[in-house]
Amino acid sequence: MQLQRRAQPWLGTLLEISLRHADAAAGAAALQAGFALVARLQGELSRFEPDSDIARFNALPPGQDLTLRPAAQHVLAVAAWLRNRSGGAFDISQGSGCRGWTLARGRLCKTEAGTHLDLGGIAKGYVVDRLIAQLRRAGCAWGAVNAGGDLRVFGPLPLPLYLRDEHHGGLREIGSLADGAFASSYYGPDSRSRLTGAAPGLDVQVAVAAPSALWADALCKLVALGLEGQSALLDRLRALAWTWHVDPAV
Amino acid sequence: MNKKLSRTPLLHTLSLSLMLAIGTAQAQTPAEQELLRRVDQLAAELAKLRTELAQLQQQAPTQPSAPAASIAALVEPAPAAQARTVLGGYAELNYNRPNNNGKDAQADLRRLVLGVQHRFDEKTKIVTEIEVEHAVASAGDPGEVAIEQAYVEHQFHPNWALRGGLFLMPMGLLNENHEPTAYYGVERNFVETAIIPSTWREGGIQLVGQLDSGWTLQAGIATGFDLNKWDAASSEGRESPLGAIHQELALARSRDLALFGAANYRGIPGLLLGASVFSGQATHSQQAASSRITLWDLHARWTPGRWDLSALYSRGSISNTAALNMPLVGSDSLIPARFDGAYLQAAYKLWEQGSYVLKPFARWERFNTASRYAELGAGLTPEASDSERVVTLGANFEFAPGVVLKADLQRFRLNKDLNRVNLGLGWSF
Repeated sequence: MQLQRRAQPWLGTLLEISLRHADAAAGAAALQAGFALVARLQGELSRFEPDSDIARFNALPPGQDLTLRPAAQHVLAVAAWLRNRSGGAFDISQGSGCRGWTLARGRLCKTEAGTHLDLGGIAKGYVVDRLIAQLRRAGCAWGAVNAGGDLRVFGPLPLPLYLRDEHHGGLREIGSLADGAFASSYYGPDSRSRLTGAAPGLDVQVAVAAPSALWADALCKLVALGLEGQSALLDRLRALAWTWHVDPAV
Repeated sequence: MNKKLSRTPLLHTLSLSLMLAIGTAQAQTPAEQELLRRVDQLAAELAKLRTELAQLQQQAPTQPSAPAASIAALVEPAPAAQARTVLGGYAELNYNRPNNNGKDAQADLRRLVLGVQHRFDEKTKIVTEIEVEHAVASAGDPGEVAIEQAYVEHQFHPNWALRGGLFLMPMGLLNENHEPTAYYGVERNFVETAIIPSTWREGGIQLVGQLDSGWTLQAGIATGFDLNKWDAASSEGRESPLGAIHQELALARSRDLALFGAANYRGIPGLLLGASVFSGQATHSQQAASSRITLWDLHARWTPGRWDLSALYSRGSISNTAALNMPLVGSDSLIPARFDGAYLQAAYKLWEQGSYVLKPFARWERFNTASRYAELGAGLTPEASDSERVVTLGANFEFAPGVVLKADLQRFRLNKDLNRVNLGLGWSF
């Protein structure tokens, strides 16, 4: 079975889908269907898409609510679960109102004025999981999806893992991944990723391996914050974490 | 077998009569002559019976044997003249044609199984079966090769035996009797495939008792399921929760073992009443959370006259699934806390001529592979599945002992895309 790979810019990064299918034409169709799914989910989850559930919520006045589509409902349920178990450290409002939203029976309510949501810390993992499920249903024998560091693999072939050295450049191989998810993030003075609640001067690279990309993506933020009780949470979610505190002088 | 057993007392009676008669062979009165004539007649009949008995014993190894029982082997002593090694087997070739998607029609050599049973002595034997599914098994083909049974049985008492090795679990009506000639319909019923994962086997030790009162009792300790195999990104767990995590003694995790038991009553001719249970831990200390899987069933079969009526209910549960499912959130198939199913079936011997037997049947089934999920929190708990209901109408046509042609129609209440016509050919010997 030949390897089929495509990469396109989505979710604010380069999203790559790789697969092996016994039928090359079916594999090509799976790639096409995969990017169609990404387009639909971005349209529902990105705060930059005016018709997304998140953008519609951000435009709501306080006291109003809206009915969520299944994707947003699922991601926000996970976000609420993590928020409650991290004492508010996992905050998709990025400081604009951690408790300013509630989710009940599929409806999202704005309880505080000024609360704006951004699923940048969790939605990519969810999209990767949905893509993997779709590749499985399409009959792919092996598949991998990488959304800018949020990675998930299934099938018999392990995938080598490389981490970028944020200060000195280059890549370092840290292992391989099979039938699981892996996410890595760098939080430092010059990084794109922002971490609400982080100590000043934080300069850390984190990686999390978990059964699903959703959890791996979300847990990166909590691991970087070094929360108390983090180990219990990782155990509960069957996740493993690594941190590298960067010393640029070395 | 019954013929042989029923003739044994008669032979003893005739032998005794002959011995008494010879004791008076010197008498020559008319009455005595008549007695001698009758003795001669009895001796001739005895010789004839002995000849018939010898013929039956010679034929016994080549006669069509009862499905499953020939291989699964009931507890009974072996006659001295019985062959020490017996070859058996079964096969089924199926054709399925969906009503609305004719392009998905499929023909398949679903399975071909060869079995060897060897008796070392009157008390000890081995039973083995090797199965090939889907005709070709290779890296690029869908088939697989599997060992269905491989166990030793030792009879240590006229009514009791011990089995050790890989054996079929005594659950339901079909798992131990799964040959195509033993059930109605081209496909095995859904309850005993989606809920009870037939053909389900485990490695372990089993005590088997056949009591004179009509009870068959089975109990033992065996390997169990492995929840670490649960693939939440696959739909396999939705199709059969236990079928997705059975181990079949292939490098089976066995930190946790399971207990099982079954009781079947056949004390009333034509009636079978039974129940079974299986329970064991299934995470094998590979996860922080431990979980127990329990499966049980109640079943009955009644064959009054030309009728063959069956009913079965089975329910499975998996404990502590909230802890197990939390890491899997975001995936398609989380682990259900409960799953169950039931069916009712009626068959009727409509026509019989020589070796030709026609048995139409109807079956109603209800099954749900995820009837309940443990609570994960608002928005995270998957919705329980709706129960699927299937009606099957068809007929089995046996045109030779152990060979059957089948045809049926299946109607699904929820997933109507599965409505289909099935044709099948099967045999068992």
